[in-house]
Amino acid sequence: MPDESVHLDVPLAVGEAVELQDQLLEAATDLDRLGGLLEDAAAQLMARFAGANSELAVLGQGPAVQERLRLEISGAMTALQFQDMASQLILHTIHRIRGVADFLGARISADEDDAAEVSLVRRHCPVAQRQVDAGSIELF
Amino acid sequence: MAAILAVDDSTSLRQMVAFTLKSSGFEVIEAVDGQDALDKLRDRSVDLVLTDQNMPRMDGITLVKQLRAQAQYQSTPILILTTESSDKMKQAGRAAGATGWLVKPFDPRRLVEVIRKVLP
Repeated sequence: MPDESVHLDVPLAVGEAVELQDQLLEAATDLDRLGGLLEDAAAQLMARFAGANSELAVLGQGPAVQERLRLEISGAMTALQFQDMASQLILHTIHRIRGVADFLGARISADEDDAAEVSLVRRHCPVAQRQVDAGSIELF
Repeated sequence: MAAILAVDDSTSLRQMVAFTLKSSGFEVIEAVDGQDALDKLRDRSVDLVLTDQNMPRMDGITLVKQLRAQAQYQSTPILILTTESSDKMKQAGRAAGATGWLVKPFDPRRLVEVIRKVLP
């Protein structure tokens, strides 16, 4: 879906706009940090799952038990992909927040007599999922 | 042993795909985006490409088009594994020459089944 521009004409005091811009940029920084934490947690979880899967091979359990364990690990790996979707959503939100901050900055800088073409861009969000159940598969 | 090129800008996703496929006996080569995938394929060939859609430098659909333009990869299975689920995006992938469209998150067992199904 292509991004689309939105034109706004809202009067805003310079002081308010600067404060809003600062708050938005801080929020973007916080989200960036959240993304880093999620990535680190996912990497550690993935390492643990790989280790657990290796241990399966030396377990003194029968094939049926090993198969049930593999099934559980498989299900956990599907859920673990939340980090990828969360990262994309976080990045999308950061872009939107920075877009609004840039828009405010442009409005602050815009000449009073200049009907500057300052607009917000609505970006397409690549993540529509609301849960981490496995997605559809379509072969063409 | 079939070789699979796994393309995704997410490190964790690449690790999960690699872990899943290597556990099932496949050789896995990783690339971080479409351009990296093309660079890696200059030095070696693969039997299947599994690519994300939204990536920096070159997205998945563009990668599919680039590969289909090469004689060597005109009939190689190319699967797109992505969070995108809209019909419009799927049709774009199909039109580009993709073999299939898989919506994330993937189930490891189903992923292996599909790959074994489309491999020649």
